[in-house]
Amino acid sequence: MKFQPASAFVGSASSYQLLPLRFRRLPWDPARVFVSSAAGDWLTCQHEELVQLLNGDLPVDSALMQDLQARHIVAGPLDTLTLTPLLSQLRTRKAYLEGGPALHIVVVSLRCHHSCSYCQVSRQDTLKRQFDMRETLNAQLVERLFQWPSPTLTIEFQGGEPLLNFEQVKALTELIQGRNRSEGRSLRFVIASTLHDITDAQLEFFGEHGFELSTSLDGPRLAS
Amino acid sequence: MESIELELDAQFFSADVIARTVYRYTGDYYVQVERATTAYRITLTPLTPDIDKNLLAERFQTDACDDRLREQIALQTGDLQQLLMRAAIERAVSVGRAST
Repeated sequence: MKFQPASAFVGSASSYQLLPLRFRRLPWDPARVFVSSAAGDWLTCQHEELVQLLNGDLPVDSALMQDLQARHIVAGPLDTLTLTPLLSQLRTRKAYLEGGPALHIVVVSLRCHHSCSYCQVSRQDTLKRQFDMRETLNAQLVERLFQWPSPTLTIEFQGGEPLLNFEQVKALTELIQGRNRSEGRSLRFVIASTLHDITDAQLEFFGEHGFELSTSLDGPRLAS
Repeated sequence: MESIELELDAQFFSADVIARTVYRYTGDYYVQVERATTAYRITLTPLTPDIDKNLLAERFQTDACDDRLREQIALQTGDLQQLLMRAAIERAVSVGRAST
């Protein structure tokens, strides 16, 4: 039995489908390009090869074509076109859209006892209460929080030092839990605090409401 | 400051491509675009004297060609891109839709 030459088993040069892609020349080698797929997979090749690809002239049996297919930048002939792997990658990358943001940070005060060098907040003096979150905003905050469809909502109280406006932490927690009786989400409360001047009553409240405490121990080894 | 003038064939480059390429240069240059009968006339004036003007015309033309290639890619794959994105995020629902 005589076999046909290898070329007989290869489709015509144009028998591939271009999938959505982006490209950019490499700044240190403008003759080469970075090419990425819709899902963020990527490779580099000669710019000339990219042009060949776009014109439908890149040989389907080339090593580059195999690589492009593996990275979902190109798919095989139209009759065997399957987008399932690319779609699966895209779904994973866009999964955050399904529930919207799950982490919500509530800054109840910009006041703080400390001025840590790494802190991103424009920290205010402990006596300046005008830098506390106003209670009149509470209802609006709760409304906004439950607008997101995420089945899990994390509410993280931050500051400044959130314990300096503990009454607000308490009020919001109770308001959110009250609303959740009809919403039925899974709630997670976190408070990021220096723990400066924390009281037993506050700890009891956190215990009752299942709070997680987030803190950092700074300073020289002996102090921490 | 010294300006550089370029002419690009209006048959070969679309207005969108020219706009896209020109925008890329607005960080370093004042730009002016005029449409003549058969060409776009582009003037680039450096914002500050230290801007690198070396091979500026060549760089601009290369960028314009690359943007034209991107336009071709979008034409070839735009429908597929929309289809994929729609399928990828179809499970995302708003609260309003979820509760109905």
